[in-house]
Amino acid sequence: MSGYQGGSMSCREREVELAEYLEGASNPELKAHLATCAECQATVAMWERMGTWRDEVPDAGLPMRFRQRLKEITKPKRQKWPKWAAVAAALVVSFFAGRTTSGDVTGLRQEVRGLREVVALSLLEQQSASERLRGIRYSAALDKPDDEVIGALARTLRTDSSVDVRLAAADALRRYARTEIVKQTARELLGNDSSPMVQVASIDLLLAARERKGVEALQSDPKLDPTVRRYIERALKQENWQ
Amino acid sequence: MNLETARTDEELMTAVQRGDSQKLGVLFDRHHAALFRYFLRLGGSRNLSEDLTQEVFFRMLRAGETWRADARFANWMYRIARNSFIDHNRKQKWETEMAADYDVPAPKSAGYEEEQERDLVRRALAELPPDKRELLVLSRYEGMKYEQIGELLGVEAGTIKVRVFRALQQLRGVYERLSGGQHVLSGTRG
Repeated sequence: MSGYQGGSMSCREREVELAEYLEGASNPELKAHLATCAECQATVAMWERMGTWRDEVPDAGLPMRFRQRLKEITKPKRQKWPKWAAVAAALVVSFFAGRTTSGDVTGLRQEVRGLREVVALSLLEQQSASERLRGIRYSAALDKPDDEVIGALARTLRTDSSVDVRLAAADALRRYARTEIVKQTARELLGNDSSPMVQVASIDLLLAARERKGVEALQSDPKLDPTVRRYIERALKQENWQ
Repeated sequence: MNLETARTDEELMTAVQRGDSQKLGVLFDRHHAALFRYFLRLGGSRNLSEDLTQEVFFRMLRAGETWRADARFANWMYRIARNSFIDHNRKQKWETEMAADYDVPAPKSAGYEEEQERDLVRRALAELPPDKRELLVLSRYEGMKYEQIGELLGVEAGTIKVRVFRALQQLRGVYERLSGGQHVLSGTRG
């Protein structure tokens, strides 16, 4: 290894000093080296560039959600079964109690369907965004969810603290775009929501519900996000084509 | 200044260990934002980073007996954070790729150029091997001293210094490639 540049220490030998310099250590000799060494200068500049990734803040509701969970976890334990577990237990009991006539089987099926809906609703209420996303996937897999599930998905689309979760809810609602509650939610968000992504999801829902007028009317809004405006133009053109 | 804000992290954690679990809320208020950013910069999405941040504090509750009153709280916390991160990776593929496409947009910065710049840094970091990325996240963003990082990772501070600097050199190489060969010094502010 040559090790030296013009009689001074090489860059490689200065790694420790350079790291200390990044941490704020004062080193006049190193400063003089930096003034003449483009390589080291560039690496130090990279450190500065890293600063452009400024601090991002978590959702403002996170401390509150944490405290709620903390309270639940540390509450003196009285075994509390979730709603869906109670339904499951009832099903098992009724099964072993000999309810096997065809009428009972139909009843059982209905109860199982009800159970799935209860699970979906329960997941949608979870504190963790990942769990709520699971709830949405679960809801979307339901064959014919009742109004309560569709209502819960619409509520999630309207008010969830995570945009990811809201967008997933919008996707799940696409199949039920023609129901009144979904149309109403989409109209409401279209006019008021601050997230362009949610606005775009609402446009999709309204177009899926053949509510073209509501979408067209939005174009005259001067405050409309330019990305959303372009999306509307493209979406309406595609509609014409179909 | 109320009593709780005057107490050190170590005192609060000792209180948690003795059964005053509500003090964990105070520790959460103090440190959740930093932990959230730690996970985010290691490559997690916002949702996952929020979930893992909470997970760290619940682990503190479960692993309370491993807390030693003479230890440094921040180190203990980051040790738990690292384990949560590793466990998550083990369980499922880290969401690095997902994060870029499906994540909630980051809070708005000044303008387009700044946005681009931040995105480049984020992508360059994501391309580094996880151990190097972690070193840079801890030293540059979490503001940890080399000494402290060495303690956390069980490595001499001198070794950490060399590794940080080499990780930074590698980051610079990736950054310049991603920016289409633009030299890192071009357009440097200040």
